[in-house]
This record gives sequence, C-alpha cells and structure tokens, in this order.
Amino acid sequence: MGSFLKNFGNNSTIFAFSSGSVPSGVGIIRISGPLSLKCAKIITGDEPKKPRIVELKNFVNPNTNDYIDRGLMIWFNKPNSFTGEDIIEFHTHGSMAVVDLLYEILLSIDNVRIAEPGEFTRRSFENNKLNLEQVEGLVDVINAETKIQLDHANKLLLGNLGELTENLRVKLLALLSEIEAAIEFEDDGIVLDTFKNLNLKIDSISEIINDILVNYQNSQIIRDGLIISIIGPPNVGKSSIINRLTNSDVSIITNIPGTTRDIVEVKLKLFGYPVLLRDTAGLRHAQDVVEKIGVEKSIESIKQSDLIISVTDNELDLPIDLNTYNITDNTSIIEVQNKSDLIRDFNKNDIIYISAKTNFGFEKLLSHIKIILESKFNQTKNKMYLISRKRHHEIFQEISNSLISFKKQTELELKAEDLRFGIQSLGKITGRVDVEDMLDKLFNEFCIGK
Amino acid sequence: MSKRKINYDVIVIGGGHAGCEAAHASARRGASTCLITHSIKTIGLMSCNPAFGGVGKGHLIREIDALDGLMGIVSDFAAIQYRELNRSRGPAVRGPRVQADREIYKAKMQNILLNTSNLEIIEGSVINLIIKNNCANGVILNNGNEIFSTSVVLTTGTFLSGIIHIGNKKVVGGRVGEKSETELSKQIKNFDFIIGRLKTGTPPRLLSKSINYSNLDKQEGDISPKFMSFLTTKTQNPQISCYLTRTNINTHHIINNNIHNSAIYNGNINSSGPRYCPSIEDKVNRFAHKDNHQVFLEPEGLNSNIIYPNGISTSLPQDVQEKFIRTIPGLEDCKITQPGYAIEYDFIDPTQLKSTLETKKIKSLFFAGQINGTTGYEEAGAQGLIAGVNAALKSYKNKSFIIDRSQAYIGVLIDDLIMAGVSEPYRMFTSRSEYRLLLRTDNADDRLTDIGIRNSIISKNRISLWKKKKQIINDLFDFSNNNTITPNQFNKYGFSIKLNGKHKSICDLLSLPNINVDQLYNIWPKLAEFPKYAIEQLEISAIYSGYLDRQLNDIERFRKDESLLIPEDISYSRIGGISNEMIEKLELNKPRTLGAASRIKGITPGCLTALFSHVKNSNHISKF
Ligand SMILES: Nc1nc2c(ncn2[C@@H]2O[C@H](COP(=O)(O)OP(=O)(O)OP(=O)(O)O)[C@@H](O)[C@H]2O)c(=O)[nH]1
Ligand SMILES: [Mg+2]
Repeated sequence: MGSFLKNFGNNSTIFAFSSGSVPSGVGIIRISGPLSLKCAKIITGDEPKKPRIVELKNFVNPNTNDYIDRGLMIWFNKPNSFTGEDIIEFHTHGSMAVVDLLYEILLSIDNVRIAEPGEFTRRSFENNKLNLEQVEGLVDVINAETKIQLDHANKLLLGNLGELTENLRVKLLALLSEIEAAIEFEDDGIVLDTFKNLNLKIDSISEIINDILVNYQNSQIIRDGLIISIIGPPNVGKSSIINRLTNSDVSIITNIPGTTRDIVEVKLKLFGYPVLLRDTAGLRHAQDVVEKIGVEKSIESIKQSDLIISVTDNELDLPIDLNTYNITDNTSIIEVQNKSDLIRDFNKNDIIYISAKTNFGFEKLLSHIKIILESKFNQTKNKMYLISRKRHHEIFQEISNSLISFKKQTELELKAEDLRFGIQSLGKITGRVDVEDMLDKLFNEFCIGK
Repeated sequence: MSKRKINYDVIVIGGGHAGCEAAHASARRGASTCLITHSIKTIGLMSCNPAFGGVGKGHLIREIDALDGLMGIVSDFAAIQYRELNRSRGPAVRGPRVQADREIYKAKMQNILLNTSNLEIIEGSVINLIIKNNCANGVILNNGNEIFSTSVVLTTGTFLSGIIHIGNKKVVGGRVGEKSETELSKQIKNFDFIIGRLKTGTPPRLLSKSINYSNLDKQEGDISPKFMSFLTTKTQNPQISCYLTRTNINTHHIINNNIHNSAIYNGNINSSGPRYCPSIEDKVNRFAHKDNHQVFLEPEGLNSNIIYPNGISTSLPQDVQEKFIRTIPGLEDCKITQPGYAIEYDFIDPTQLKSTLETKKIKSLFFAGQINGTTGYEEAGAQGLIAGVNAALKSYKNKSFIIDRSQAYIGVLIDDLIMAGVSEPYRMFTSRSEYRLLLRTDNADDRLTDIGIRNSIISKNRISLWKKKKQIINDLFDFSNNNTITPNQFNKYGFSIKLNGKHKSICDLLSLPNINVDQLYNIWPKLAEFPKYAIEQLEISAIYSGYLDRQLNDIERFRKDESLLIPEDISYSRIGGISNEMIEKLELNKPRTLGAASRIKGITPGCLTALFSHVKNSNHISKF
C-alpha cells in the first residue's frame, strides 16, 4: 500500500575529492549523477557549454556570493563518461579551505552526497563502462582508498576524539539496550525509565556531540581565521576604527552618514592569531538601493562573526540591539563608544571609551580582543581540533539530528529507531555496531528469562 | 518382513513444529509428501512452554499464517488465553501471544495433517538416509523398508546426540521419554557436516491441585483478543487466567547451597545456552543483587492438572528442586509431576545451508528447526515452511522460494542463520530486523500473501478473503489520497493548522501531529464505512510516515544488491585482484547474492567491487 510514501530513485548525485590528499598543488572534486550540471551552475553560475572542453571559471559561494577560488571546470557528458553519468570536475588549488567550502556547498544541495568508497567505480560497472581487466586494476586502488580512510579514522581514535566517540558509542548502546529490553521483554518486569529521564540521558550525550560540532567550527576558525565585525549606526566612526586597528587606509572615511556600503575585509594576524577584520555599512533603514544591500550584508556578517565590536558615539545613547539578529551563543561582543575626545564623563562601566582620532582607549580595546582570541583558540586546542574532515562533521551532524528527533518522539519504538540510526551513523567512524553488540549489553544488564 | 519400495516427491522426517509446517507446505505446493514420525500421537507436541507468540515470535506466526501455514490457525484453535504483549506501544512492536492447551493443539494438528491431500503419514524410525552422488534420494527405516523421494527434509530437533541432565544424573535421549536417533546422527556426522553443541533447559512441572492460588496475583487475558491467524474470527475455548508468584532470598539460599550439584555448574555441561532464558541457577548467580525473580504459573490446558512454572528452568537434583520450590509463595505444598532438566544436543552449523535451507553439501537434503541451532516453536515452524516449499520445488528445474530480510522476519531468521551461524540457541527479536517499522504483525498478509499466491501455496479460501481485504484497504488509501481540503476550510471544523493555501489530502492531514481518523468522520462521512482493519493501516502509515520513507529507501539499496545473483558454479579464484583470504571467506560461505556477500564479516569494498564486476560480466556473457 504505502500510499503515504514518496517515490524514491536510488539515483542520488555523489561527489568526492579525488586526487590524493590536501593540501596539494591541484585538487579535483569529481561529481557524478543527474544533478552534476546543476551543481556546476550553482558553483560557477553557468552550466558548462560543451562537454570535454576545459573552461576557466570563478568558483563562488552561492549563499554569500563570496569568491572561493579560480579554477578549471570540465564536463564529461553521459553516457560517454567514466561512470556513464554526467560528470563535472572542478580543478581547484587544493587548499583545505577551498575544498571544505566546496564540500559544504555541494552537501547543501538536496540529493547530493559524499561518495562511498568505490562508488564511482561501481557506478561505471553498473553502466557497463569497464571491462574485467580494468576492474582488477582498480580493486587495489579502492582497497587502498578505504585503508587511507580507516587509517585516518584510527588516527583520530588515538587522539581525544577517539575517547569521545568510544564514550559516545558506549552511552548510545547502553541507552538502546535499555529501550530494546523494554520492547522485547515486556513480561520480564523490566521497568523502563520515564521518557523524561531518557531524554535527560540523551541530553548528556548531545552535549558530547555539540562539543564536537562546536570544536569543528573552532577548528575552522583556526584554519580560516576568526571573524571580527565592526558594526554600528552610520557615522559613529567604524571605518576610522578599522583604519586605526590595521594601521592603514583600507576604508574610506567621510562625515557623510552611509559612506561605507560594502564589507571591507582585512586579513591579519592579531597577537599571532589569524583574524578576518571587517568594516561594515552603518545599520539604518536605508532608502538608497546600494546602501540597502550594504546593510543586508552587514547583518549577514553579524551572524557569521565570532566577535562583534559594537560601536556607538556620544550622540547616541544606545548601541545596536544585537538580540534581533539571533547570533549564536558562541559569539562574543565588545561594546565601545567612539569619539570620546569630545566628552567629559565616562560613567558607563560596561563600555570601552575610545577615540579613533586621538588613539585613546585602543590599548584597552586591544587587550579585551586579546583575551577573547586567546580563550577561543585555547578552548579549541584543549579539547580537540581533530575533526577537520567534512565527512566526520556530516556524520556527527547526522547523529545530532537523530538525537533531536529522539527527544521529540513519543513512541518508544520510534525513539529506538532514531537511536539505531544514530548508532549506525557513528559506525561509519568507529566501525560497524551490530545487533549482537546491543544484545550483549542487554543480556549483561538485564535478567531476562520468563 | 518384506521390503517395500515406495516413491514420494518429498519425505519429511520428524513431526515437531518444523516437520508439521514442512509436510503441510510441501503438500500444499502439490508435491506428494510423506511425513515419517515415531508416533502419530506425538505430532504437534508442545515440548516446552504452553504458549505461542509474543514479541518477534508473534511476528513469525503471523508470517507463517500469511503464507497459509498451520501454526496460527491451530494455536487459535487451542488458545485458552490471549494476551498481546506491548499493547500500550506502537504497532510495530506489539506481539500477539496465546496460552495454548497442549492436548487440543496436538489433536487439531494431527487432525489437519491426517486429512491433508497429497500427504501420507508413516510411523517409523529412520535409521539412514539414502544418498547417491551427493544427492538425497530417500530413507531407510528401522524395519528395513526403503522409501524413495526427490528430496528429504530433516526436522529432528534435539535428537542428535541429546543428553538430558538432572543434577548429576545423565540420560541419553531427545526429551524425557523419547529416544535419540543415534544411528541417523552417526550417518550425518559421517558426511562431515560441521556440528556444534548447545544446551537448553526446562522447569519442573507442577500439580495444579497442590498450589495455593489465594494470595497470588492473577493475570487475565485481553478482553478483546488479537488472533494469531488472519482467518480466525472468534475465540474457540473458555478463557483461563495465569498466576504470578516470585522467588525470595530463601529460595536463592537453597539454590546457592546446592549449586555444585547443578549439571550446569558441576562441569557436566560446557555447551552454550541461551542468554535470554537462563536457568534459575544462572539468574541467582549472575544477578545476585536481585532478591526475587518472577515465576509465571501457566496452565497446560483446560482439563490439565499440570502447571508450567515459567521462569525457573533448572538442572538441580530432583530433591533440591522440590526444596527450593516450596519456599515460593503459593507453592509451599507443591508436588512436582516431572522434574526440570537441562538438555545438551548437537546442531548442524547453519552456515552450511542455502537460503532455501537445502544443504550446500548434499543436494535435495534440507534441514529445518531446532537442528539448525534455533529455539522456539515459531522459529522452527518458519523454517519448516520454507524448507517444505523448497523441497517440493526440487521436482522443478531452477525454482526456489526465498523470503528476504526486507520482506519478513522469516527472511531475517534464515539470513542470520546461514550468514552468521549461531553461538547460542537462536531466538527471534524484533531488534534483529533493520526494517522493524515495516515488518509488522498487522501487515504480514500484505507483505507475504501475494508472494504465497505467486508460488501456489495459498488455499482458495484465503486467496479470496485476502483479495477482498486488499481491495478495501486500497480503496481507503485511494480515497484518502484523492480527497483534499484547504487549510482554511479545514480550520472551520475547529482545527488550527498552518494556512498556506495548499490543498491537503486526508493522508496529509493524518501525518500532522494530533490529528487522527476519528476527528475526520464528520468532514468525510464515507470514512466511517471502512472496516477497522483498513482504518488501522491508514493510521499506522501516518504515525510512521517519515520513518517508513527512510526504511523503504534502505530497502531499495538492499534489493539492488540482493538482485545481483552470484552463479552457483562461480570460481572465486578466477576473480582477479582479490586476496586468498577473501577467496577463502567466499568459498566457505558461497553467498547467493552480492548483498549476502557484503554481510560476510571482513569482506572488503575492493573485494565486493571485483566480485560485482565479475558477476555482471559473466551474466552479460551468458546472455549471448
Ligand atoms: N571627534 C572625533 N571624530 C571622529 C572620531 N572617529 C571618527 N570621527 C569622524 O566621524 C565621521 C564618520 O567617521 P567614519 O569612520 O566614516 O564613520 P562610519 O561609522 O564608518 O560611518 P558610515 O560608514 O557612514 O557608517 C568622520 O568625519 C570622522 O572623521 C573620533 O574618535 N573623534
Ligand atoms: Mg564607514
């Protein structure tokens, strides 16, 4: 019957980084499947014009319009390609950051996923693209590929992450066996914890996973730099501040409100830490089309920031209310009041008084920034900064989603289903967890035997 | 005595639960079938607890029933108490269960089998299989008679080298009062089958009159029973109650003081027993912190004086059994009619079987039931049915009847057995299935009856009932997909769903939280015309909808791999690029499909890829 159920085709589009490991000179991301051309359009703005022609393209993040890299794109049309499907190859500069960004963009497209080991080869067999001799040569490659992935996983397991995932596995299994015992052996008088308590147990597991996910973000910070945005109403002196901080004239300064209209970004090292410092358009209800876009970008930047420097001046009593932009808990805020050379009483405690004109207060501001930078980077280092692989991030995200769903469920067997799915995801890192593991745990913990 | 020579399509040896289903299924499939048993009177004997079904096991019975097997109908016929387990939980994990009257069950089973066309029953003892060119052709009875057949199904339970332990006493035999078939087991061992040893136990039986029930908790059956068979429409016997009592520290004290006399602890038994059904000695030892254990007092029948105390299987000496039992409330003056015992027995390592349950070593020889390392009537019956149909199909070229993991627990059972083997008596749990939400007791007919019809094993009566039912359910789903309403209109009936202007079907509405069919009758009065079972299907699809999508998706991947058949005559060493270790694993397991190969422990993706392309290639060539 199943009339509720959608139709499924097993024709998802797959992709993988396919030339050694990064960082390397050139990296190739290969995409195969019905959506490859769409992927090309999303990343380069255009579908390729002709098959088998090398095109030089700008790769752009469609969500932020940020430029990612300039590289080559080639389309191998179906059915003449290696897999027999449409294949797109992006040849990038192979830096970790570029590859990760492309992964992120591709993963955000529905029905596009990372390829399993050997999946490209398998698709080519399915479409009769390879003969037996060719396959035999490839078997070694696939086994090696898998080995590299396993070695990598093992390397992770030796570090802190290993301890965490093992901890996670044990906890998830314990919870699952508790639930399964209640399902399978109702008559054995097994008293199941209340749903409230089960959810509390899940919370403690979710905490571990959130740590991992937050640390993933932090490890991105280490690679790409921490984003600091200078924001505030027009004309309070934001551009003057970034020029002071960078000791340069990167941003235009006038006394006309609404001068800065696009994000001005400077990459620099502050106290030895990589930082992306951004000057933004003053926040106000803009009439001008260009300024309007600028304001939107400022808001976007607020959301991406790890640290926000929120600026006012003496003509304004109140800083921008950041609550309206739903920033994450992980974002720090420093409030400053500029143009302090024009006033006398410095009576607010939670604000740093500065003057971009006289350089007054910058020492204090910098020491505050230093404290925040240190805490962010150390937090990352202390725990683990190891899950830098998109693949692992994706898996932990999957587990996290299962646990969220677990908490919402009111039927026990659906809670079990969510847990089973989460454990299955974890198995992609730690190796397969099967029914026997759960049953072992179950029979050790519970006296079953009506 | 003069030698007789007789010919059948199929011979089934053994009249236990596997044998009954095998013989009936084979006859149903149109094969002339011969069931050989020591005694017709023991056919359908419930040798262990007087109950059928439960979580997982109930699933198996419904599946046997959906394929027109006997266990569902006969257990309904003998049911003296219905109690569905997990009644308060979701439909996927509910398990219909009955207490059954031993005498009624046996009599009904014998009656059905004696009146089955194509089926003859012979009383006798098989001492040898007739095997020619590695192919089973018949059997030799202890009276010297030879009976010939195209295939043979062996369902001899624990008869292979069975030893019974009561305390320090040992008795050779299958069960108490029955002979073990030593000749036959010798022959089987001579064929070099890999054999393992398992143990299981049973509790003492008690005299009902000697029990004082007045202070015990009464456990009554369900008021509205869920039947085991899709065909049953009403209860057939007066319904009884069970009672619940508990062991206590005094009980545990006696057991601990005598533990050295228990066959399990005195070194007499080394084989592995089930973890889920430990003896009372085990429970007291392993869970020392528990100061009591439940004992269910289950009547063995309407007119029976015997009580089966579920929960205290033991192999302590008889006098110790008596002592500890009398410490249990209600059992102070209790009389034991038959002591509990442990039994050790040989089983055939089931990885030597194909998914038809035919042995890989000897053609046309099938094994089914406890002999394959399983426990439980339901597990045995399920295997019997599959082996019986496949034995019948042996007369045809290239026909087989295989149920896979995505279709039924029967498929999970057989795949687990033949792929992973067993290390303890194998029992079904719902957690063994990857597709638990889809493989439910309520839809076993939807999953299997059409498959049964295609394989010609379903009776006319069931076919017409099922077709009607299916039509009605389909009509309801069509109705519910085609009838829509706008959120605006809908909210006029007192709901408050999101107003996005899009029309919503009945199905869409039901998958929203807190909306059920009852609330929709006044909008679509026609819904009330559909029977309860159809409405139930609609509701289940709704509550599981998101999850079912995922499982169907998984099944599709699974099927793709399962559809790639590996030819039986494949030579693994000719596949280039794979290591000797991989070749060995494949040789040992002889997987039938690529999917099965992927479930062999330690097989690498590279090896699978090579196997895959090799198979694709040879399939390709053989087409020309
Ligand atoms: N007295 C005084 N004037 C300042 C100070 N900082 C900036 N100004 C002046 O304030 C005016 C605005 O400075 P900007 O830096 O352009 O201000 P902004 O916040 O970037 O303005 P928008 O880009 O329009 O949002 C200029 O005329 C600056 O010279 C300060 O510390 N003291
Ligand atoms: Mg500015």
